[in-house]
Amino acid sequence: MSNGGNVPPIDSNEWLARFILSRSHLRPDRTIKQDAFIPYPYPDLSVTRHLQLSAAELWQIGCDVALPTGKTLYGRADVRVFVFQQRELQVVPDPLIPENPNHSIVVGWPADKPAQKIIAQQIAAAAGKALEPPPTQK
Amino acid sequence: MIIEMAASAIISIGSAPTHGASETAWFVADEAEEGRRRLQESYAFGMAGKGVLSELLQIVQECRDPNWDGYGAEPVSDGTYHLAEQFLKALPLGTAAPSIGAEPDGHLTVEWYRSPRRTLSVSISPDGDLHYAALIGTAKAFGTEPFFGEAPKAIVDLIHRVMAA
Repeated sequence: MSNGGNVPPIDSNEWLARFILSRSHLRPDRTIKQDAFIPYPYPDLSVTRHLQLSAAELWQIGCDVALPTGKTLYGRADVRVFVFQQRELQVVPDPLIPENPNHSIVVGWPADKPAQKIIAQQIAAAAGKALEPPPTQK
Repeated sequence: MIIEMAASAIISIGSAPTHGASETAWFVADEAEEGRRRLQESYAFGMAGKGVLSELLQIVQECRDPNWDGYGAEPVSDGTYHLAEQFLKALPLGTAAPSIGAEPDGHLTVEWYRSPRRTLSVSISPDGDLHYAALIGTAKAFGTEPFFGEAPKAIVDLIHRVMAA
C-alpha cells in the first residue's frame, strides 16, 4: 500500500477505482450506468488511486467500504485520471489514514444536475464494464 | 350508449386529459383511461406489462434507506417513487422499456440504452423536475423539464432518437 505520509502527485495516466455498491448501477452486461458517477454528497466523487496497490489490496479497500455498512461489493469501475481532466474536473488526493491512503476526490463538478449527468455519462462510457470482485470478496 | 375506441386512438392521446364538463365527456375520458390502463398491462404496449413498474418498486425498496450506496446516498422517497410511476405511465404506449436506477441524491433514474454512446438517462427529482442527459453518437443533449403529468415532448423525442434502429 502507498505511503500515507508522502502522497505522490496525481498523474494523468494513472488509474482510479470507483467501487460499485449498488446493483442498480450496473446493467446486465456489467457496463456501468452514469448513476455511479453522480457526485454526492456534492461536490465530491470518491475514488481510490491504484498507485502501488496490488489487485488484492485494491479489492480489500472496496470490501472495507462495503462491509461496515452491510453492503455488497458488486464491482469496480476503473477510469484513468485524464478522463476526468478532459471534462474540466480535477482529481485531488484525500488520504484517509489509516484505512485508505490512496483515497482521492474528483472535484470541479458543475452545480446543475443535467450538466453533472452528461459528464457522468461520458465517464461511464469511458469506464466500460465493471470488474467483478474475486469470489472471496463478494 | 356504446363508444368504441381503437387502441391507436388511445395510444395517440397519451394520458387523455379532458377539458369537457358534460356527462358524455367524462364517460369518454373514463373509457379512454380504462382502455389505457388495460394497454399498460399488455406486454406489447405498457410499462406494467413489460415489468418496468415491478423493477421500479424493487429499486425503491433497495434504495429507501440512507447510505444505500455506501457513500452517503440520500434515500429515495415515496414521493419520488410516485412521480416516477406517473412519468412511466405517462409515456406514449408502445415506448421501449427503460431500465430503472437511482442516484445518490435520492433521484430515481429511467434509462434507455442502446450502447455507451447511445443512451438517455432521465432523473426524477423529489420536487417533480425531470433532469435528462443523452449521448447520441457524437451529439449530446441535456436539460430539465417540469413534470405535470404528461411526458415532455423533448424527452419523448430523445427516446425515439436513442432507440431508433
